[in-house]
Amino acid sequence: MSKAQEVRHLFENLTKNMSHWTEMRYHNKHSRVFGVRKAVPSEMSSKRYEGVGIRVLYNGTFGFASTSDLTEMGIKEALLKAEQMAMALDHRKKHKVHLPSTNRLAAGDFIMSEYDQLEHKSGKEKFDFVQESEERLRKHSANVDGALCQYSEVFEEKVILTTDGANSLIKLVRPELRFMAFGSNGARRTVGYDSVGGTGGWDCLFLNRSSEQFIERAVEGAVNLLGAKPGDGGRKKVILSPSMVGLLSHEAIGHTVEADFVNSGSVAAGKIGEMVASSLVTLCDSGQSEHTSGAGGTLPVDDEGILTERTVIIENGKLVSYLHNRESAAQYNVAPTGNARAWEFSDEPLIRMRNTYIEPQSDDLDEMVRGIEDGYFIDGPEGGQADATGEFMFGANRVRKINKGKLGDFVQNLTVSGNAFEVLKSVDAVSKDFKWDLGSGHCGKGQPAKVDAGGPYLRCELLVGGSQK
Amino acid sequence: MTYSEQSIKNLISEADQIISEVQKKSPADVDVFSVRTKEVRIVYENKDYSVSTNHTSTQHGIRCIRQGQMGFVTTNASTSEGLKQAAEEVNVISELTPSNEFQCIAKPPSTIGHFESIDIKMAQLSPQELAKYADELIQTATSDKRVSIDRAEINWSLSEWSLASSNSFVQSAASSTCSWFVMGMGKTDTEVTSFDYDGGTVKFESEIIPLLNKTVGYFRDSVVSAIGARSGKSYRGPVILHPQAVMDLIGDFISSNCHGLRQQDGMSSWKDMMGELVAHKDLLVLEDPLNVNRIEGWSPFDREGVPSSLHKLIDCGRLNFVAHNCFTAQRAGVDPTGNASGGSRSLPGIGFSNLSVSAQPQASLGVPEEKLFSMISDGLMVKRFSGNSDPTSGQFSGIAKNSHWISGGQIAYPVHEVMISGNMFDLIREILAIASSTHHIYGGGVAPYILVDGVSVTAGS
Repeated sequence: MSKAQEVRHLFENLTKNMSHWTEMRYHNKHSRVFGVRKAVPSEMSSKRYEGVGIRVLYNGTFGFASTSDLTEMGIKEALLKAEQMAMALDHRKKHKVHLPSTNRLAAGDFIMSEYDQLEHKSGKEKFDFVQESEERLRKHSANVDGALCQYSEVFEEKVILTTDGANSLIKLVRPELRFMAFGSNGARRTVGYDSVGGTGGWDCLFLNRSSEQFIERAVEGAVNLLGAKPGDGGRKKVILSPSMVGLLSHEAIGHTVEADFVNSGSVAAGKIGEMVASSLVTLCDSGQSEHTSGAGGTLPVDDEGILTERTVIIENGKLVSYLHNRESAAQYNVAPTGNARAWEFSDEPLIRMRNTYIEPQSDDLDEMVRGIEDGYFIDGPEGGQADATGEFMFGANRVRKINKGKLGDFVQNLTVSGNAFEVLKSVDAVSKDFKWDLGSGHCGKGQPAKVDAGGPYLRCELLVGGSQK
Repeated sequence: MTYSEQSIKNLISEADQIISEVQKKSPADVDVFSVRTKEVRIVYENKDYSVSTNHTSTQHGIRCIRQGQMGFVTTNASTSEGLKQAAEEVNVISELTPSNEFQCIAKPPSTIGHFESIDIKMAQLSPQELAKYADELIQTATSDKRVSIDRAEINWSLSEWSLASSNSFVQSAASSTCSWFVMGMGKTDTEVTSFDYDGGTVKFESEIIPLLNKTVGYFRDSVVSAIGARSGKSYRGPVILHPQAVMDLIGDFISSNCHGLRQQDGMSSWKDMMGELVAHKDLLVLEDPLNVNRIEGWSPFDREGVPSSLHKLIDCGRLNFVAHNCFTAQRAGVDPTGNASGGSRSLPGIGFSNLSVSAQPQASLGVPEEKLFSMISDGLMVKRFSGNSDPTSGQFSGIAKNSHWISGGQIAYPVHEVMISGNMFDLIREILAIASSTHHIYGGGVAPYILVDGVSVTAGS
């Protein structure tokens, strides 16, 4: 019997006569990272983090405790601590939590077949790929004087059991690849990136681009920037690539519709039913990999044992749903959307996104570019942040000027900003293409979470940071 | 006997078992960085307490170097079987790795021992007592009804950590702390402001209330002052950097360029510039890891067991220090500087603890804060920088968050949708004034207000 099955059996026995709602989660997370930087192994590591997180609802108040002691005694001790923690807050809790029954509870085994396939691919094969890729990056151009390639994989095995009926075993695997090229022309140094992260086996890494294309894009990014001039700042009409659309959907819209953030007063509060975007915009968050396979945030069951679904957030411009865990779904009198996620066994589940995207429409990308007199084609996200107001900031490192409907030169890395809902209202064209393309990105909200995002190309208006005279 | 002596002995015993298991295969250099943490946390969100948590964990980060081949494994196992499995895994991983002549662990240092910063009252704080401090936090933050808390947390922890080495030495330390943070926004019937945050960490139980009231009060006043934000104006010229923005921009930039690996990799143009003028001559930047009164960054020894010490990174505007861990020191042919960073979950990197930015003593640019504000007649004061800053090229571009417009030397109104950009190499030379007083920043830094020139400010409509 595997450790997960042993623990599941223990959970079943311990929760038989429980007087209050209890959630028990076993989580074994095993990751490996192989990295080579400038011909030197930069990381060769394996991390194993295994334990149990227990959440109890005592008199309408949550308490949580975790342990890496997987014996019956260890789990019982953690259960007792969780109860004590709930009691410590009981008389301070103003709004008692009630979890209504739901037909979304997951029961059964959800095992990804690629788990074993990737586990059985040898470490040597994976490392050799990394080492060879780093060498190819370095030797691809005379203007590249260094490179980095890093492969990581995370194997996750979970058992989630609740006293009201969830009882599932989940096995998932998520590989990632990162490519960086360091450009130099003597006077200037630049960095070009590309990356991919997916849910699935080795092959899911190459659904959008081949290894050669990753290398070419990273090298091109570094080399093009060597001669790039600063862009001019101001409000501009732009084309956003699928990766930028994904970042916008996740950071600038997605966070404002997480129900916990809504309750704290985000700009999306009270706007259900209102037009918040152009009618061309339908924005969703899904536990499945919609349109194409392999999206990095895919999960069949969330960490409260709820089956995940495709949640439509904005439908043809109208805000129709927030993202929920069981507690907030009860508060809003809707079904839970399967958005409760915990990073490790020692973390309590929070409302998090999964795969967030804008649905493609029918426009042709070339036509969209032709419709811009003076603007930018913006790709290559470099991270970003958004605010409760919907105001966002993203960096971009693959930006080209658009002059009179034609793509022009690359410009230096720049930052774009705006109010997300205002930007979505300015959308006047949405392409027919679709890509999951958040790369190796993770979301941070107290805990990390592996998420993905993507969509078509969008034409819209936003504020571009640049030099002033 | 110190407070944590027995517990530390157990931790080191597990590390010794790992070293012994790794070396059963064949001799190897092995170091094990172990951390044991007991933690209680109370979370407040959505205008109510949401959950309280209790967590105990032990983790070992195991590095094995055998004939230049290096592998690293992290485990949270404590059973003999689990530790043995981790030891076997690190041997397997190291075999995959090509040999590198610079891979090494630390030699026995001149100072070894056990270091503690434990206040008995703090170490024995109960969840019920912590909950009372959480009440104080919430009351202070919401004493102005326009404050909306997105999330607040208060956290008690007792941490013990050790570095055990096959080079026959052990370092260990322990601390008990209480830390908190609050994040939220100002809210009226018609407006939601940008969010802001603040927080603190203390080592004495008696310090909790004074610092909590001070830091949470800063947060409350900051988000309320952001109500009524308007557009700024576009220009290129002087801006005032708030101490937080000084740390975001200048602190990060200088740390990155005093980083041994970045210099060796050609990612910093300050390579071979030791002693040269790289910033305004009145600028002083230092790290102070032994300052136990700045407990967030207190670090008596580094991630590889090398003793820490105070370093002036920039002294009178001149590059004065390059930080090394064992790998980069070996490559440079120098001694490691005690700057190996990270924990049990990662290989040693390079980092700085308790960074301070200030005016050089008796600096001509050092002025009182009011005087510094009066030096700008119409322009921007940046509180937080949210954006991208490339330490290699020096280019930075991002949003000025929670920022204000200055008019006639006074804070006039809050602004939104203002972007700033420029070049950090120029910015640290074009300093016009440095406030003589400094402020403690959440996260561990200390910095003053600084007036800099040459920044592009782009305002939205």
